Amino acid sequence: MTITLSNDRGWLEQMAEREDYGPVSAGGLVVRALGGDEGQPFGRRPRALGRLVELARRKKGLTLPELAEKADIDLVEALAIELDALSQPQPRTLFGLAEALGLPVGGVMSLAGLAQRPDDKLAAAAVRFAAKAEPTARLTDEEKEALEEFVGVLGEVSDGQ
Amino acid sequence: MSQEILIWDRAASSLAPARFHEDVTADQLAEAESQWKPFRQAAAQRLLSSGSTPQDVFRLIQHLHWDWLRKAQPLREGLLSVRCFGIEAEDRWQGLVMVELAAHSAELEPDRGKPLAYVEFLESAPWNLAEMSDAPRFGLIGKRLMEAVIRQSIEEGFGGRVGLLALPQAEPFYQDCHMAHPDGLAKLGMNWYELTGKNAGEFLGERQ
Repeated sequence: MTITLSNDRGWLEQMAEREDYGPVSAGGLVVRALGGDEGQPFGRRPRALGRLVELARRKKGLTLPELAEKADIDLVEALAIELDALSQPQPRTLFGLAEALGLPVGGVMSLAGLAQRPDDKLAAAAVRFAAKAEPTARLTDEEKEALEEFVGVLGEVSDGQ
Repeated sequence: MSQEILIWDRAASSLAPARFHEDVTADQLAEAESQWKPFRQAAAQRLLSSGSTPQDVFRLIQHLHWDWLRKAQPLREGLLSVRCFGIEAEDRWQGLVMVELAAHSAELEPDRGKPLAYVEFLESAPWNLAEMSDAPRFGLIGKRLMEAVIRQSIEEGFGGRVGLLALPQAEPFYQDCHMAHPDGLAKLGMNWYELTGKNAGEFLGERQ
């Protein structure tokens, strides 16, 4: 089936007068990909994985571009992992991040849902951890404590795999 | 199948020729991604270097990391109800839209319950956006893609009805396309926007 677009110059020039080169993106596809209408607001509430990467990065004093370079991943991907609840990182990306940040690879994979074995202890620890972390420039004592406790749980998960 | 259309050349302040493609393939989607990715990487880097916070940068580019393999899946599966249109100029993809024609219906009266063309995704190349570039290259990309969706809706017998979930920062664009947002209709933080058959006529200027 063929459609034909207009080449009416007057109409197009009229529309061009209102052109502001602003954002035009629409994206129902991301909703369908999740399989339903419910869930977290898009791009609003980072998961425990995002919190973990952010805090571990800040603990090492790395900026996002520096982390992306060290982990050999795209900067936009690094941004998405830290800030987008719907981010679905690939195993290669998680491996690079875990290596760059000195985190247990198996635990990071489990946290991202890429490992086979579900882990109730990890899930509970992730919820506690995500609730404690705040996106400030320097780690607070509470954040340091939360990060260390959570990395400990990740290590246990890794060892158990 | 492709045809010559006109888009807006910002630097020349005049209409410029482009190719409109009706049947964009999964491989062409991947080609577009390979063209767009380096530009948005550089834009993100530039914004961070100039002092923007990661949160600010992510808010600007949040849609740009969507999984392109997932986007291409309906095309790889050969779904007849899904069509992908694209605009090409200067040997680069300037914009893409994927539309689904079988699974969605109108929410606005008087067409509530009637089928509509649903926009799975719509994007303009990052170099055409002021948020990504100090000198956007082409204009009218979003409008021409929306025109294509409306004409496809008319061709399907849907009367020009279109529905979509707009990224928050893109809502002014869809309002300018004569689309309306029914109160309370949102999914995952994105508001539902709908074009009625009557407003589709207004968008098209009723002159074609």
